[in-house]
Amino acid sequence: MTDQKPFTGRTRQRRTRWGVATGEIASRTLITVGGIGTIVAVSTVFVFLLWVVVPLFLPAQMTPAREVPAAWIAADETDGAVLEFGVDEFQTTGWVLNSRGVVTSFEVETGRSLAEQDLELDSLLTSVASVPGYAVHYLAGEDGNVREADFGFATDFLLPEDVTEEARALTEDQVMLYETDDDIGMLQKTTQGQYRFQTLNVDVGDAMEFFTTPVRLLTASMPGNELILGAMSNDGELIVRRHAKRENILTGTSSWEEIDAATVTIEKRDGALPKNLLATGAGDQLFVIWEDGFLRRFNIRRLEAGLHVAEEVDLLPNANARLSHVDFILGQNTFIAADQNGDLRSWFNIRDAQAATSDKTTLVSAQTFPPTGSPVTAFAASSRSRIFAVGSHDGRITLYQATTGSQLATQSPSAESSASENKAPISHLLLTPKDDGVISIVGDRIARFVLDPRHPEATWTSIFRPLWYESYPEREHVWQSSGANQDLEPKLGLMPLIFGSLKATLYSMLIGAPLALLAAIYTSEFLTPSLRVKVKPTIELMASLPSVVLGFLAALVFAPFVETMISTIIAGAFSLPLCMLLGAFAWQLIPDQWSIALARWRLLFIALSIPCGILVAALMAPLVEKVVFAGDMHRWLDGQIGTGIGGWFLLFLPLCFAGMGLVTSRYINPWMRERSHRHLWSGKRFIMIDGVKFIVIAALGLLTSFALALVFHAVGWDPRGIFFGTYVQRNALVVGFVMGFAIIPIIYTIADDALAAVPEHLRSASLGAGATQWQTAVRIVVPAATSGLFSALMIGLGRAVGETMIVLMAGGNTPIMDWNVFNGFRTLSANIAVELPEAVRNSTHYRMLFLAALSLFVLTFIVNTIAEVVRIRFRRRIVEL
Amino acid sequence: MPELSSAIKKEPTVSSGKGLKETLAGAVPVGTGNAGTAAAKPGPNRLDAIAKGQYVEPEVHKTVAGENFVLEVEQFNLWYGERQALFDINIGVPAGKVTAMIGPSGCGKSTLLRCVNRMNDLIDIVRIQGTMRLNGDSIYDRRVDVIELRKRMGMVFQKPNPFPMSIFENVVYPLRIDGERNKAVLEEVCERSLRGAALWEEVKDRLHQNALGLSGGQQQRLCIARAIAAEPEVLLLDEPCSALDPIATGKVEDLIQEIKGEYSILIVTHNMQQASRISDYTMFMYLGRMIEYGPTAEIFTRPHLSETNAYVTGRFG
Repeated sequence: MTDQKPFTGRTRQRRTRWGVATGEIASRTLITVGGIGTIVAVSTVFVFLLWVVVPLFLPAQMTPAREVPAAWIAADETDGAVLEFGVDEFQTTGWVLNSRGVVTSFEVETGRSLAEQDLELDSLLTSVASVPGYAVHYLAGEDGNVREADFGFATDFLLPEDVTEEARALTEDQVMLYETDDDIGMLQKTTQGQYRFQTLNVDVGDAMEFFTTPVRLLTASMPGNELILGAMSNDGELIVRRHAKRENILTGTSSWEEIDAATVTIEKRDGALPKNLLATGAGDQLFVIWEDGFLRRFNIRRLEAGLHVAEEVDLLPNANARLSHVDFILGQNTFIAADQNGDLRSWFNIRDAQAATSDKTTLVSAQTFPPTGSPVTAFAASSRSRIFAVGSHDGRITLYQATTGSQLATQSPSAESSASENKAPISHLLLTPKDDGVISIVGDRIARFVLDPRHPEATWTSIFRPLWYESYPEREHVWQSSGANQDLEPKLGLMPLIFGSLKATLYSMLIGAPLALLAAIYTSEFLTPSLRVKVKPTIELMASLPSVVLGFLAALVFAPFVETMISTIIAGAFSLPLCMLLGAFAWQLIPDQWSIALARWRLLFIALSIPCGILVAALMAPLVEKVVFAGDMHRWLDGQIGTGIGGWFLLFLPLCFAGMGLVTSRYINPWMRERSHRHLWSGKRFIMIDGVKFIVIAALGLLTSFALALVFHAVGWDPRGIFFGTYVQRNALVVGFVMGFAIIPIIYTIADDALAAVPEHLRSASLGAGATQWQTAVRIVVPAATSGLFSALMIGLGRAVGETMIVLMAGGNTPIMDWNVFNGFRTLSANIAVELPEAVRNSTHYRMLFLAALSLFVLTFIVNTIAEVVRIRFRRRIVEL
Repeated sequence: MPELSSAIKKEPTVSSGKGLKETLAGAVPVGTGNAGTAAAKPGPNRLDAIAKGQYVEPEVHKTVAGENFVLEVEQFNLWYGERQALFDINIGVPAGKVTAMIGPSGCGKSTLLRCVNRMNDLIDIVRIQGTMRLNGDSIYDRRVDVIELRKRMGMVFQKPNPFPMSIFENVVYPLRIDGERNKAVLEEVCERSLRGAALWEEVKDRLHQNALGLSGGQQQRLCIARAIAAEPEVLLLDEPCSALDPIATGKVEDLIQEIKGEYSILIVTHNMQQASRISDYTMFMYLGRMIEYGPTAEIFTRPHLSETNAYVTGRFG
């Protein structure tokens, strides 16, 4: 430091003050933490979404738990073959019913038999029919009778002081055989410390007589409060009976009362009687199936009219193949046909107006599953989802999902059973009630597997590709995550939702983006700065309207308004621009002195053309409706009246006008300019000729459009069903208007800033060269501001993609893929808002909603990335300015 | 632009019967042949008088009145809001000559220049009074289409302002906005203009590259080429060399020398050497008033007014 004399009389402190230094460090730390924190927060959202979504795609797991010998299982005919077996939902107690009518309960863990109960049926059993989702089974015997048997587990909770010393020693989840005074069952200590005592109760109802000879085949289904039983005797006689439930008010019991019946005799095919009898869950179809794959379908909806063959189908294309197993999966609509080669197919009945069948429905094979490679010997359908398991001759167990057709898991026979001499096929198979285990009977052994199916209904194919869902006419993208019944097939196609998001975005951008950009150009290029500072905040104020308010107005006020005024709105789409153009011509016709004097009021005149356009539209509307829409637009849209010509005409009109405009500017205008120079046309004359040209061009546009419409109509195409369709009150047009309104402020603000950032000297240069303001705007300012305008559009797009409340309230929420502007849709965001409250945590549905959120995230991420890349590319051009 | 032009109150003054030439001639004080006496007459208080807002008779040399004017300005006043920026300007710009406007910052040179092609219309607080005529056609008349008017003039700004497009498109921009599509015409005009602006040799191989890649001096000559391409009646240069280095300045000055005669040029400059090198006539302005206007040689060697002398010799300003 030198001894410098201070000039200002003040010596400067050259050491940085402590406070300043601290502030520097503190603020730097805070900013660093905040900045990194923001990035971390955004990444965390992404990681969390991924965390929830990833388990959707993890494979199902099936691991062997235990294989135990169960010598008491009588496998031969004299002791009674196993007909049916079941297990309780906690996998503690199982039961086996054999053909002698004896029910044996056993401990699942050890395979020990607990108790035997003879149902005392006085006859050998021939067939058992079960109804998925119900504990009841129907037992058919050699005496020709059918009895209802309820295999229920009674659950009792015992207090710790009531159980024996031995039971008190149980640890949680441990199971023991326990006997009370009058019952024997399994005791398990629950995680809550209670003692759960489960006993098997079998109630057998009265005999219902079908034949005097043995029943060969039996099927049952319970649609609503009815019971349908179909039985076939060894003579081929088929009886189908429909029963109604009759409650006894005094005793509180209920019984079945027969209300309808029909009989038919089925003849043998190649000397064989049918192998299977299946009645659908809706109680409308009965399938009679032979071993060679031949199926005869009876429509049993109206039994009083008798049994008539509706359709005959061959389930096996291969003539030599033999069916080994046919059975329904959950819902009793889809059945799986497995043949001896281990090939599996699913079949269901669909409505088909072109079908050659009597009831206009037909059986279709929807899905072919990966083959097991070995004859199928056992089959088990889940009672809560659409998965099923098959056991094959080589001892392998394979798990499938019926909708997606995918193989979920496969389990080779255990080392013990493969080592044994007689490599026994799996004779019986069972999926536990909670889908958490598979139990098989192989010879006299019981094998148990722990199953975690995870989320088998969600695969890349089922989410993003069309699938053939039960009763649908063809492969489709469908979103239907939940339904009234438990046996509903969840349809998890995300495409309708993505489509809905894109549709809403497209229509709102079509309406909002041009308005916002033109407004920005107008305020930044044509408006005086003093007015501009007033207009800009006003438009920005629009953004402060909560979207829920906009959605509410859209749904309750605007949608009904649009519905009644739709033809006026369509007419207005053409009359407004037309009136504006005519107004511009009219302005040219005003003498110069006047037009310059009136220039300051020009905006007023422009504004005047808007009510003019609306008036013209209102006057034209009935005419448009009459000429284009055959008198009633809503009915025309429905396809009830009129032809497609009007629709094509409307669609081609903007295209034809644009094409005509292009031709005019390219060829006719230069020619006219040259003529006007050569013949020295006066301004007025030029304008008159220009006006005539405009009218001629407009007329030509109309004619071309009409001609094209005629051609398209002649070819046989109809725009209804593609671009138009049935009018739904909450539709894409309404959302387009309202969401367009909602995205205007954000696009406008950014676009206006981008235009204002274009250096003033470029405008001066252009104006100085004699360009008009419009030429300056279009040729210089807009190209220079492209990057900003583009990001404005993209941010508007991002907003539209993610917007929820407006589409939720005014979009109709129908997840359909239909470009029809008058139809509704459901967006990803609205779907999340609607369904998340009802989704069970960590269920497939819950995770699918997170996948929807992730898709939305990815969608906006892609949009923003494109926006940024394009913006940077454009900006490189401008950066030197 | 309805709002812009409407904000300006145009009040054309009633023509006083005698033409501008007579006005200018009449304004010349008697016995101006003697520079020394004329300079001494109002004394050094002339600048103070102007600062106080008093009217000071402008000094116009006789030689000026003998010229043929392309642009005439009569009794021109201009206000930015409440503040008056130009006071009673009466000048004529000779045809085919280079006329320079000099004066200290804020004296209204650029404002006056921008008034000529009505660029000040864009500022809505500007109010004017007076008359300007381009080859006899009034500029501020109610019935004048400002777009047509600007097509008759070329303007080059202080900062080079090429458009962010190719060199070719920059040059032919005035033709493009007129709707010219004939490629042959465009190419010929482009080459002629670039040759006129002494830029052709440097850019002929990269006509379709972005003009922003040119150096500052090249950009400014490109702007001049763009102005020439419009075939203007008068070329307005607003301190065209202030943002350029000496070499580029030299080139632009050579260019101005070359094209004068074909074009009438009105140039605003801060650089008195530049004014003395390139102009035929020089006008000295101070605080919104025109002080002295005469042939460049006279203004710089023997001005009539001592204030002018003081300014050109660098004693103030």
